[in-house]
Amino acid sequence: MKSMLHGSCMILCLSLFAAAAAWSASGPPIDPKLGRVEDRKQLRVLLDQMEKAISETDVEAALKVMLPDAVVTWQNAEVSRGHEQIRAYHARMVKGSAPIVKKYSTKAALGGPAMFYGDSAVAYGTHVDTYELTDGLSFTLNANWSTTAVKADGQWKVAALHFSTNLFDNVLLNNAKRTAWIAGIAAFLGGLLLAFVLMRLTRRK
Amino acid sequence: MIRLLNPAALVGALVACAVAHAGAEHRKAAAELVRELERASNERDAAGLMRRAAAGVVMVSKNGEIVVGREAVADYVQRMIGASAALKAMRSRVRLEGEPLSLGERFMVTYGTSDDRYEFASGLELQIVTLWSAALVREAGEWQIAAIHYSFNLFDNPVLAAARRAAHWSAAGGLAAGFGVGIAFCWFRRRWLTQGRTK
Repeated sequence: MKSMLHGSCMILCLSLFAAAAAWSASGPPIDPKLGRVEDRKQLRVLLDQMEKAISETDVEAALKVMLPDAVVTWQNAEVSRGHEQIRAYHARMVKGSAPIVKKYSTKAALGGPAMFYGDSAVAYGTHVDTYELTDGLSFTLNANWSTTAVKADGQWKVAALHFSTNLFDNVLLNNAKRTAWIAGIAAFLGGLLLAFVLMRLTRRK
Repeated sequence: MIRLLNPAALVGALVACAVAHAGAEHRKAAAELVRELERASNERDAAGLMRRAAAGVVMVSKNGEIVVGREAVADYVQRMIGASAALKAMRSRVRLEGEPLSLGERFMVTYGTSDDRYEFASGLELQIVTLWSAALVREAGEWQIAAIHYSFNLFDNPVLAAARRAAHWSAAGGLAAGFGVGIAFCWFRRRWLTQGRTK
């Protein structure tokens, strides 16, 4: 009985995992009216590979699907061009004696159908990133991405990738605004306390 | 000489020449496009900004919007730059960084930065370094924008700096206000108690 339950749980877990994987690979259904269905499928596979590589901070897997001269614009306003610079950026962020990022994961979504220009394509969408920095700061960031991909030797590769977020509404800004409120209220209470203590000390006997 | 006559070497040399030529041409075209956009932006010329947008243009803005298609982008540009009463003035100095990445004869990726200064009707001024990347496509002999993405430094930007400064001011103001209210309350309370005793 116990083993049957265990087996059912395993099957359920595997089914859920398979369903999640299938959803991730397919995304919303491709509209055949848009044309280039095969290219769209291949692009989705490419974007899934990219998402997985970024999420697992596996830079070599990401570089496999990028052009040797690919350009990446990161959230911290740095631009890396070519495999060496991308590798160096990754190493600085997550490796070495003083890494900045402790843990990172991303979940990307397509924003709409890709635009094709011959053997080049533009795709875009949103992503939710979870950061855990080595200084203890953890946050979840809602962000946008766009990419230019190119078909070379029958294979789609990423030529450019750009990440950004909302300047006026993002987690760091909202944290800073919340801190301002908390600091103001805490300081007000501190001021009250200070005043009471001071008045008590200076009270005429 | 023998090497030059080798067909493979000759083809290789021709391809290298073609790539170099495409690179130089792409660089010139990207620089021209950037100057045109900079001028249109500084003159708040929404129509000028849209003149080089491809039909399916994708724009990702600094305020987190993703706008797709020439009409939608034109609406956005008109709303934000052309007809915005909230924006009093703006000035951009756009720079290309690095060589454009040529993807064939009629497609390239180019990127750079721009020093932007916005002056709002409310009196607020915002100076920010914007990062941009663009995918350009040559259609009917003219380079057009297939995609443009704007971003900024998430961890170090003037809006975040202002919010952090506000936290300091808030703390200082809160302390002063709390102290003031506390002193006033104690003083009035003491006075009220003293009056009560004398009566």
